[in-house]
Amino acid sequence: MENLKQELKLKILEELNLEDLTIEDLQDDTLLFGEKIGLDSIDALEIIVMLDKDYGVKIINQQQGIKVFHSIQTIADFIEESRKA
Amino acid sequence: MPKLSEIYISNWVHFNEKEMSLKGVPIHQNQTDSELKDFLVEVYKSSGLSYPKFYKMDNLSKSAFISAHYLTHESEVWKVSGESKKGVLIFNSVSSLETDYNFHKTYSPKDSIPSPSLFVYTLPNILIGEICIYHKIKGENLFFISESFDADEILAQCEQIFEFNALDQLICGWVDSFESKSNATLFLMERKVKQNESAAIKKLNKSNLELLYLNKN
Amino acid sequence: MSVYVQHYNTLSSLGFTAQENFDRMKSGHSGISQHQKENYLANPFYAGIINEEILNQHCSYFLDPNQYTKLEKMVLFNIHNIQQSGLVDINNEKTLIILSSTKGNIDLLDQTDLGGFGKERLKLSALGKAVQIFTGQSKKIPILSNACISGLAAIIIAKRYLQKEIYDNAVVIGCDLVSPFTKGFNSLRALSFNPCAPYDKNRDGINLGDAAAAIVLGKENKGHSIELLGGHVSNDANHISGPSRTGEGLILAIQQASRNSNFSKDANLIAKPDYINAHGTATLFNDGMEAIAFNTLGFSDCQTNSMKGFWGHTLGAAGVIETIASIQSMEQNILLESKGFKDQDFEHPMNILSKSQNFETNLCLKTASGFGGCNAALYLSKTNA
Repeated sequence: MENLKQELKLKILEELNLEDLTIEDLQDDTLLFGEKIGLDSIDALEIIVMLDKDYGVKIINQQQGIKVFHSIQTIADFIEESRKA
Repeated sequence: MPKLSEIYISNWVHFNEKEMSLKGVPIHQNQTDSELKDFLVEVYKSSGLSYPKFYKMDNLSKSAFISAHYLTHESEVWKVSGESKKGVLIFNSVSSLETDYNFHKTYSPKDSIPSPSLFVYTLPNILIGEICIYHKIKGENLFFISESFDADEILAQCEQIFEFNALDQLICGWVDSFESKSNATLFLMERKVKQNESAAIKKLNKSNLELLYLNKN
Repeated sequence: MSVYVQHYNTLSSLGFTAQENFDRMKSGHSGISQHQKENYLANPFYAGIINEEILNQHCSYFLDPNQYTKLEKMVLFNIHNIQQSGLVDINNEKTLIILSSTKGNIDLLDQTDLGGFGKERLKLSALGKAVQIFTGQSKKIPILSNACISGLAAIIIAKRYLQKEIYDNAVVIGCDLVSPFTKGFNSLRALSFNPCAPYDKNRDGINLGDAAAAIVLGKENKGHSIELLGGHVSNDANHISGPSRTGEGLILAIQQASRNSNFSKDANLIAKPDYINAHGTATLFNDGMEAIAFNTLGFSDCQTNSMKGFWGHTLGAAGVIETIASIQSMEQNILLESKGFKDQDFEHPMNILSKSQNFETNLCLKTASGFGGCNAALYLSKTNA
C-alpha cells in the first residue's frame, strides 16, 4: 500500500506536470482538487487514463470519479479494492 | 470607429529558443543551450509569474503565453482596460502540428489510450484561450493560418477588429512552434496612447510591422 | 453597406447539394449512422461519414481523385459547384476565398505512409494550396482555425471585408472530417455512443460528422433575399475546454452582434430573434450553458433548434453548414425539428422545436461556441426586395 501511494504521487506529479510541487506537498490525505494542488477537469480525465493504462482499473462515471479522486489515499484504496474484486 | 492611422504599436516582444527580447532588447538569453521546453520554463521562472497552469501547456501555448506576459506586464492601460475592450489576434503557419504528432503518439500503438490533455492542445486557438483566461480578455479572438508572416494580412484584420469591435487594445502577432523551435512576435496595439509615451511607440503600418518583426526597430 | 447571401452549397453525409440536404432534413432523415471502425474507436459509434468512393464518383469528372485528399476533394467539390453556378468569378481579384477548418488533412496521420501525400499535406495551409492549384490562382487563401466557431467566425469576417469594400464577393468554405484522430473527443468523455440528443434532458455527448459547405456573399441582393446583419466573436476567459457556467461569453457575443446590426440606438436593447439556430452539441455542459445564456437574454421562448442531430458535429464546417440550413429555413418558411430532442430539460428550459413546422422567420440568430472559450453570434434577416 505504501509503495502504491508513493508510486501514485510520483506519477501524478510527473504526468500532470505539477512542476511547482514536490512529493512532500502531496500527502496521503491532501485534497487533489483543493486549492493547494488545484487539479481541474482535464487532470481528472488524465488520471482516469493513467488508472486504466497502468493499473487496469476503470472509472465508470463522474460520481465515482469525484469519490475516488479525493486524495492519494482514496485512489490507492480504489485500486486495491478493484484488484481484490 | 477608429481608423488604422489612429492605432499604435506600444510594445513588442520576440521569443525564440535562443532569447526573449522586449522592444528589440534581449531580456533573457538561453546561455546554456537548453532545449526549448526547458528554456520556456527558465523564462517563466525568471518572470516572477506564479501560474502553475503554465507547466501544463504545450510549447506553442507556452511561447504565446510568456510572450503575452512580457508584452503587457508594464502597461498601465492594459491593467485598467475593460474586459470586452481587449482582444487577441494570432497567425501562424503550422497550426498545432507538433502537439498533433505528440497526441497521435499516445494512441498509435494499438490499444493505447489517447491523452485527453494533449488532445485539448491540438487546436491552435487554445493558446488564445490561455491568454484570455489569464488576462481576462473577453473581446474578439481569432486564429488564422497563413504560410508566412504577412503584414498586409495582419493589417487588414487589425483594421476590421478595431473598427467593428471598438477595441482599446489588441494582442496581435505571429506564434509558431514546431520541432523544438519557436518563433513568436507579439505586438501590443492600442487606440489610446498617452502623449508622453509617444517617443517609444510606433504607428501601426506595414513597414513598422515588417521592421519590428525582423527586429530592426 | 449591406451584405447578402448569393449562393450556397452543402456536402455532408445527407447529400451533395444544399437542396438535397434540406429536403432530407425536412423529411426527418439523419446522416448519422452506426459505424464499426476499430482504428477509430474500439466500440461501434455514431457519426455522419461521407463515403469517399461516392465522393470520388461525384468529383472524377472535374478532378483526378488520386491527386487530392478526401477533405480537399470535399472543398473542391464546393468550389466547382460555385464555378458552375456562374454567379461569381472565383479567380477575380475582388473575390475573397476564406476557409475554416479545425484540423484540415489530419486524417492522413492514421493512413499508411500518410496516404502517399507527404508531410506538407498535414499542414492546415495545405487546404489553401489545394484550392490555389485547382483554380490556378496565386491569391493567398486565409484559413481561420477557431475550434468549433471557425465557420461562423469566417462568415462574420468575410462580411466585414465586403462592408469595407475590399472585395466584391466572398466565398466562405468550412470543412472538417471524422478520423481516428478525433477519438480524442472520447478521451474527453464528450462522445455519445447513441445518436446525439441536443437539449434533451438525457443528452450524453456529441456525434461527429464529415462536411464541407460553401456560402457566397455579395453586395447585391440577388437570388436569396437574405441579408447578413451584425456578428461578433467573444471569449469566456474561463476554461480552455469547458464552457462557461454563466454563459457570459455567449451573451457578450449576442449583445455585440445585436449592436453591430444597428437595430436600435439604445445599446442596451438586444434584438430578440424569431428563430435561433444554436450550437447544441448535445454535451451536458454546452447545452446547459446555452440555455442559461438564452434565459438571461429573455430568449428562452424563441423557437430554437440544433442541427447536430442531422449531421453530427461537423467542427470547422458547423458554422457554415448550419447557417446555410438556417437560410433555407427562412427562405422556405419552415423550421426544422431539433433532431434527437425528446424531453425538455427542466433545469434549463428552452423552446426547442420537437417537430418541423411552417413558420415565417424574419430575423434569425445563429450562434456557436467552442474550445478555447470562444463564442460567435450572427443575425440574419429576410429582405423584402
